[in-house]
Amino acid sequence: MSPKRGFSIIEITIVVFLTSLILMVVSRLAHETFVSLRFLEEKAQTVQSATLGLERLSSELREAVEVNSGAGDSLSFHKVDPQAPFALDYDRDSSPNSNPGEPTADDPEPYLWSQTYQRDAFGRDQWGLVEYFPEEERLVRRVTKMGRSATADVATNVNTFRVEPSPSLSGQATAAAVFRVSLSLLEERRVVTFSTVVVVPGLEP
Amino acid sequence: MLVAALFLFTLLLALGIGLMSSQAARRKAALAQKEAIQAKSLALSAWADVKTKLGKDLFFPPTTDGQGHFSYGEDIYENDGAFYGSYSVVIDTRYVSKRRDQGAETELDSTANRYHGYYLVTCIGKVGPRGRPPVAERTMYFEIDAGSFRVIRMHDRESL
Repeated sequence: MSPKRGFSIIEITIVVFLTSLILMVVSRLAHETFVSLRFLEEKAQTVQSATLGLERLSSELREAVEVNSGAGDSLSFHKVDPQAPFALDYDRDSSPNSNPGEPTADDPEPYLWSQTYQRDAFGRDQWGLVEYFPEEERLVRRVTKMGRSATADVATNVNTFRVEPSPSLSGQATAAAVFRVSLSLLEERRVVTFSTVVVVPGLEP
Repeated sequence: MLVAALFLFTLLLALGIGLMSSQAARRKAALAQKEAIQAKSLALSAWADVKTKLGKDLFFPPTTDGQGHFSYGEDIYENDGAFYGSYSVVIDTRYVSKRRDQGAETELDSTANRYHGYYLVTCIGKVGPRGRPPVAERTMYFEIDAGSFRVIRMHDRESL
């Protein structure tokens, strides 16, 4: 009678030990990978939030025709409503039916046109007031036009928001139409700062 | 044991593929963002170019009777000579007219014409190979007072 084949208790113990060791190493690796992934995702989210926020802000600041407060931790400026009809009050006649649409090429009389969109032929102010300011770790945008206002968050996890007019770039002074906007965001326990320089065509001499 | 090894292999493979594909998507998004920024820079270059031409060249934009628009463009090349993108400028001159100085603004008895009205300037920056739809595009619209060249309205029409 041949002896029964099988594993001894020592062999099984070694196999279980080695398997546990391998699983432990693999789980540790997977855990590290997930932690790194989460960190990268948060970092990407921070970068995206800052990039989109600054891009939106700089794109809108570029449309400014008058900057009220362009220094410190808030920004306030006027821009013309993009939906406002072209060449408002082109005959300087304030009666409601005097400017029914765009001026015609035959009779434009452009020397009479208003050089500002602040008041149209119907007495409406076509300038909108746009404000950016930090509030409870958020960068908030508020736009006000004709007494109505709308508010939206532009970036989250905001640490600081700074606007600097006429910044010095590479040791050179810049014009009044130049602004440096800096946005610092909280990322885990770090603060990451993003900065952009905007030239506002409407303020250029 | 074999089953456990196969299971582990499959799990790691799935994790690896998931990680790689997510990184690839992120890289693609970053590249698209770079191209969008380049398109914006090209549109701003167009604006800087047209602003300089308006300020320096007395006969710009050249117009003839019946012509309501003037446009031009520039190609942009990489350092190695490869085509990268272009910018173009369209100037709507229909709402500009010349009149003699008169009234309170008259300086002496000037015989010089003064420009009145608005120039409507559209600056377009495009990135991408020639002959194909652009990879990124940015359009900026300016209304400029024809006398002072001051921008009275600007609209960043964002990118496609």
